[in-house]
Amino acid sequence: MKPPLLSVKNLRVWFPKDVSFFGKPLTWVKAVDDVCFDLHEGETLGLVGESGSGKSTTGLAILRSHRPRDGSVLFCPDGQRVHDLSKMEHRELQPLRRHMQMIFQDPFASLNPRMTVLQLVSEPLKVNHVGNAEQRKQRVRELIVEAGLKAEFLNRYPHAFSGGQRQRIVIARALALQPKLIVCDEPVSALDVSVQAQILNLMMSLKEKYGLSYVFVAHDLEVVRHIADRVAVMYAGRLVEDGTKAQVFGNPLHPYTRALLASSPKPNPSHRAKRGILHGEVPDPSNLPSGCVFHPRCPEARPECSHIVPAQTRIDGRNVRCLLYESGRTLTDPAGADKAAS
Amino acid sequence: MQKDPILEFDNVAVEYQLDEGVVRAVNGVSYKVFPDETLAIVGESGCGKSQSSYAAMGLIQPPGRITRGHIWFREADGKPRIDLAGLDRNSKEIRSIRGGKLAMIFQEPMTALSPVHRIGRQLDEVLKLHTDMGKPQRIDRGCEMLRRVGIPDARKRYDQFSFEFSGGMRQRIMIAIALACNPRVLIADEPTTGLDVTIQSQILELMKTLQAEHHMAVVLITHDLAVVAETADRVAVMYLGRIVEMADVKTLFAAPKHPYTIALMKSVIGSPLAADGRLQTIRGSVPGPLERVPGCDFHPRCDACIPGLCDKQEPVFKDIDGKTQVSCHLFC
Repeated sequence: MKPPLLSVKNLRVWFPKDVSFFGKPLTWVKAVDDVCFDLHEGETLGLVGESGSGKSTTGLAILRSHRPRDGSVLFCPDGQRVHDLSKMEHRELQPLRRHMQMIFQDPFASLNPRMTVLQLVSEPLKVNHVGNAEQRKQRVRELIVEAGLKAEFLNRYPHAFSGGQRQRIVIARALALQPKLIVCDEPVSALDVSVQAQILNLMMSLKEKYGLSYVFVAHDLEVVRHIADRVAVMYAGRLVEDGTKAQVFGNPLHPYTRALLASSPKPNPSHRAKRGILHGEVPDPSNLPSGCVFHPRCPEARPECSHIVPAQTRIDGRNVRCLLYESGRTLTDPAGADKAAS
Repeated sequence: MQKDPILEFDNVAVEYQLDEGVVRAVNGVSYKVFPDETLAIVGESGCGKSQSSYAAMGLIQPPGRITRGHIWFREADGKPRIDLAGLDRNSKEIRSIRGGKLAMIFQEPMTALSPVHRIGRQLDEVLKLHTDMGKPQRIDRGCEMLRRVGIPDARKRYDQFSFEFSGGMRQRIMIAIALACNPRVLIADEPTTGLDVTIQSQILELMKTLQAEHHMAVVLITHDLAVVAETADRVAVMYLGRIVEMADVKTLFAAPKHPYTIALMKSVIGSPLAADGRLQTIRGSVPGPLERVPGCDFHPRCDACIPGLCDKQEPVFKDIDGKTQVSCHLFC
């Protein structure tokens, strides 16, 4: 069987917070803690969570913008050789970089204002010594047309474009080297709804055309519901639940996923309902609660939740990290679970 | 007619006189808001939804000015109404209303609060301006407001700075400041944009509770149709400085009339009109602020455009079936 395109195992990204006199970290900000998931070729994984949940850090750690403290990121761009990105040196990573690209949230910040569209989009080609100047220019022309811009925009600067058009430039640039994996960090959250729809459509058609795989980091559940095949929910640096879109949205298991889905507003006034409100706020990542990180806000918390860290439990091909579902324990109130799921 | 409207926009226009030309930020907006009611104003960036509310607050800065229309505000039932559009933005009259009976919460709780003053002082400021309470009373009232918006340990928090609070807490403080003087109208400009969904639902619920207690009218300005669907009673959709459609929330989502509203609904994931696979998009993009087209503003992007009519003549904003008001030639 072919190995998955990307397999993240027990990923930990910790940042030192207070450092002792000798430079030894005393306390850590545990931005990402023990995160595992797989991404197969042609799939989109939606990584959702509130701010500070570690979803962006996970995305950046996959591309090695952050060096993980522990765990492995197995990347297999050709379906044969598996590379562990988390352990590689920068020099070794370089030939692999062309297979993985990034799209950032803010298209105003991610394009250099002093470079023209041609320079911006041809830069990755240049860095990787693809073709000569004329061939590169031809390729850039194809790319920006592919991304829905006009070929005559080649010599314009980013300030001449709207937010949606800039995001198209960013997408063209990410596509330049025909990557296998694109990590998108909130690619549409800075855009107006009608433009959001255009960019999502573009991303979906490019995915089908080139067999791309996306790690789609977003806080907007409706957007993720639309674009993702699999969904992973993060809370305070932990991955609390992951599964197919139908599983996570249709029958959420983890109390946090349920609360998150319940509090996300739906653009349909006839479905307006009294929503269960989740009290409290996301904990400080340098001072996480003991046991299950969600227990102080959890409506179903039990005494043992405050001292036992739940392990990842596999149920029907999905993973949940909650004591309610750990083997040997069963739901005390299955009726309550059914009600919350419906 | 059961009650008098508290706030009434009558054909209001806001223009910015720039060197490059005239930007018509708001171009003939009319609406009424009644007590206990939430009117949502939706639209994409640059449609003038924030500018129209700034006009009511007297916050239009030169080179911008209100060029026509009236903004009628009734301070109390039975009292004569005041035309806010006619007041100078620094006049005594607007100062006595702004922040008192007519309050506003801004989008960014990070920047709207002063970083160098304790939040107690910022709460105290409105009470000092709009009430004749003594200092100890004002502190009590300030702490009470903090408790009401769900901030625990209010007396201690009263003496803290804004950076000691999270984003959701800061927005709660903004709400506490806005509601300290029991306003008649609360203008909420993107009150939950940038907040997490679980915090967003806390804030929206809080606003609803406080609205019911005070019989306030809320003007909710947002780009998020999901928030509109959850909270609004009536909705006004704006495009390029004009209201193109206004209806109650259920009618608008179930049967939008204006081609722009229809297109907007179809591009929102999860709305009753949106498709499952590819989303329908609006072709073209919003024109620049200095570009003006003759006739209907939306005709270059409209699929139902009638040549010879839509590109020549401006449509009139009128009631078509007793439920919906539309500005479109299709319904004339």
